[in-house]
Amino acid sequence: MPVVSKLEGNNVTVTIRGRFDFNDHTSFREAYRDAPPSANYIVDMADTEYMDSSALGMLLLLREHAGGDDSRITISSCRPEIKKILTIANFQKLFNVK
Amino acid sequence: MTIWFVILLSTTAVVMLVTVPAQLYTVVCSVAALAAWAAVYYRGIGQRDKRLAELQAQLVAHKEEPICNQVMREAMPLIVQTNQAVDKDLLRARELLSEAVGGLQASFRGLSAQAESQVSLVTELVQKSAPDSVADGKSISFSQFAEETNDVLEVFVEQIVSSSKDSMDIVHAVNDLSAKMAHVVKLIGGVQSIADQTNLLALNAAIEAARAGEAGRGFAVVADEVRALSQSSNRFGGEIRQVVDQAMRDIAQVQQTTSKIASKDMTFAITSKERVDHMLTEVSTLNQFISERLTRVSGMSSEIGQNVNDAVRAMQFEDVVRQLLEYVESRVSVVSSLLNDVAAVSSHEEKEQILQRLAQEKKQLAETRKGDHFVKVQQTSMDQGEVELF
Repeated sequence: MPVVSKLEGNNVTVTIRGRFDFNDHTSFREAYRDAPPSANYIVDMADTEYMDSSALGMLLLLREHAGGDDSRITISSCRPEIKKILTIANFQKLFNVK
Repeated sequence: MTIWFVILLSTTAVVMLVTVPAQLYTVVCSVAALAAWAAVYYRGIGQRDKRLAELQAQLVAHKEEPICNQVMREAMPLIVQTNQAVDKDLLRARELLSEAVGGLQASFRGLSAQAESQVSLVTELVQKSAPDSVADGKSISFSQFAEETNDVLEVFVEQIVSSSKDSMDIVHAVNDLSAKMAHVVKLIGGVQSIADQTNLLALNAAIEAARAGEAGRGFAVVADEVRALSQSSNRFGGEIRQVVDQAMRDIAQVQQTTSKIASKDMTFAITSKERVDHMLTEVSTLNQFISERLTRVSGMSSEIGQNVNDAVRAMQFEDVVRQLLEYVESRVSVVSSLLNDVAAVSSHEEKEQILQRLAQEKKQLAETRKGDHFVKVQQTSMDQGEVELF
């Protein structure tokens, strides 16, 4: 299972393993679809090896789901290559990238 | 002394002649005469010796003089010739010096002018290479180019992310649509099931109508119509299912296309971004390097100009040397004229004139050496700004 979500209290943790691309669009959406927008979202990317622009798009859709500018989303444990992509896309302004 | 002695003796003789007896007269006269003769004799000897020494000296002088004259006569043309050659050489030296210094000055002035134009060119370069000097909107610096490339890249990445997001939004919507289509298919299934049941019901109704015989004839017609309707419903449901199936295939196509739009490899962006960043750093370093070096070159050009100016100023030593040469020429001409005159001496009068002139020249030379002219020339310094023009 590349995308796994876990709901603990108000925290929704979405863990992505391996490649994060278009093929994950359904499972990723399912991971947050039923969670409340006001929840704390943590996208754990420690085991994410690759991401393309569709993954970036999906993260932005998660942000919209979580209330846009009012959202509280943390992208954690990024690998350097992943972090570079997030930086180039200016995601550090939209997400709490760690 | 000798004369006095003779007079005394004579006087004594005269007195004795008057006073002594006659016998003694002859003796006394003889003695007086002898004394007088002795006095005259000794005096004559002294004069003769003196004259002899003079004659000897004259003899020595007369012996040497002709040899000197002879040598002088032999040497004179050579000396005069040499003097002329020296005079000529001095003139040539003066000309050469003037020519060389003129050429050097022209060359240095050219160098100075070039150094100045170099300074202005370098200054222009420095100004042009400055990052904020693009005012005309036409030229663009490397750093600006890199920055703009960076901006373009950022916009490009933003566009990609934005379009990916929209695409994913579409994909989600299409997914929802697809799910709804599936629901429609399911509903159609329900409709068809109802149609099937209605069909069966109509069939049963027809059977029951046939059993009723003549009385059920009308009912049989109704049953047939109901059956036909159910079959139409079923067929209609099938057609809808076909359309929905086609729509589902279309949706799958849309999803595939959208996935292509949404899925862009971001590696290119990373690579490009890194390249642009690298370029910016390089350009910045290069700009700094160029600016620093150009400033140094500019400074050096100024120094060259300064040095050239100093050199041109130092060239004024020509004046000093020229004046010295002129002075030497004048001395040489004096020597020439003197030699000519000396060679032409033929009488004692002329000799006296020449000797007078020599003494005059000697005095004049001594005065000249002490005088303003020579001191001025000696004191003239070649240091910058200290050149005295005269």
